[in-house]
Amino acid sequence: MAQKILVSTRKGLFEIGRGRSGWTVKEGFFLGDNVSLALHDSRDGTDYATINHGHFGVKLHRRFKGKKWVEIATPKYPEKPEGLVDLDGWGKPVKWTTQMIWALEPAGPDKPNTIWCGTMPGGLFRSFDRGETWELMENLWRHPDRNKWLGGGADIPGIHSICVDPRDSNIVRVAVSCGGVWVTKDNGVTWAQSAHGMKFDNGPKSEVESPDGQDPHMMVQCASDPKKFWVQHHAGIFKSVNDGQKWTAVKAKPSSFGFGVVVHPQDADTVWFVPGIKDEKRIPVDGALVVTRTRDGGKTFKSLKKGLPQKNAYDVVFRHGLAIDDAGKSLGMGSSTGNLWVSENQGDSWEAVSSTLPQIYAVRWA
Amino acid sequence: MGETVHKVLDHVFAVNMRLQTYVLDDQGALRKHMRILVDGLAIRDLEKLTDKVKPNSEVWVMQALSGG
Repeated sequence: MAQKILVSTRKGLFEIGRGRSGWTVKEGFFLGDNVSLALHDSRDGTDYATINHGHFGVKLHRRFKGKKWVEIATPKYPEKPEGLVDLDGWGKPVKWTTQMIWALEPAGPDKPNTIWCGTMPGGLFRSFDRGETWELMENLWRHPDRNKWLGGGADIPGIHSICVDPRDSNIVRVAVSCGGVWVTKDNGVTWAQSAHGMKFDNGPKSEVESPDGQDPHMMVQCASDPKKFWVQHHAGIFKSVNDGQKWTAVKAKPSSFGFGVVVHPQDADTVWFVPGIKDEKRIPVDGALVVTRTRDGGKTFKSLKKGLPQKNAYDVVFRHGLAIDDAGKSLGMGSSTGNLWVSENQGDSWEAVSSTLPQIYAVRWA
Repeated sequence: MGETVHKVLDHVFAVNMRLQTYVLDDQGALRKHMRILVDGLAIRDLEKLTDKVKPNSEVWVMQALSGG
């Protein structure tokens, strides 16, 4: 069982470990800095952390098997061609600058040292050398439909979910807020839209059903049943049982709105979400924080609340704030108000690890 | 050294390459919240940094800090 969690927060990166008396905050890194995401690459024991300095820009750091952190290269956009009119879906000019690293994933067991990186304003990058150098996926970036992408929660579009297919690591799917789901089957050379079936509730049909305007908040793929995907979308929950070719809506109680989603690595029908009231009220229903879990592919949901605050709780769990270990048994969850919980029984009960951490962006098993 | 802010900075970045990514963005423009003063006056060209620098000018690179 995994015994360590990396927690990325507004004021540093924290390592959480399991001691004899339970889970505790063991160590902090980059204290005071805005750490937006971390990755533990289990293939070689390397950790990555990305820092979003307001004034100095976005930076990446790396450490090998717990040694000292060193700064490595940050994905860099190519020079914007002189005179190019490049507008996003809102009609606003796109700035060709890495403004946020929003996704970091290993590229599969047969591609050691290779890392995928999703960014705002929407560029997907790949490194073959553990972040020493990066290349932009030019064909996705220069795809004409990229100009339909637009900012949702953030002002500008970004790639926050990267699913490397366990059957073939040349197949990669990324989810974009807002820009739908994009798939490559040739290791990043060509890309196609794959969000068909997702939709918003209200608005003109051409708009609400356009794949390019969809806002998947988070997308996950089942490791052992990889044709099955789950998405927590801005307008609810969607699932696909056919490799993302078609998505169908799933309704949950007390709400289908939220950000994070995790799927059991060995059971595609067991999935967890953290609901908020709705998109214009992003707080737990009735001030009671619950995790919802389905064990039957979304037909029914159970609200899990043991150990979670059931009064005056206004925690939001951001899209990377919910994580499951490789065994599918333990979950970690961090909130916007600095609460961190661990469950070692698939969410049946939760242990509060800390209530005083800075705002939590991302939780990751290491 | 140099005759524009851009050229002056190039000399500095030549000996400290990583510093460039802290001061300038991917397109070579001054990062937001960064400020450059030449002889006490804020530069005007924040994109290409073409403001003139005299041989004995003093150039300050400063950052504003914000957030809670």
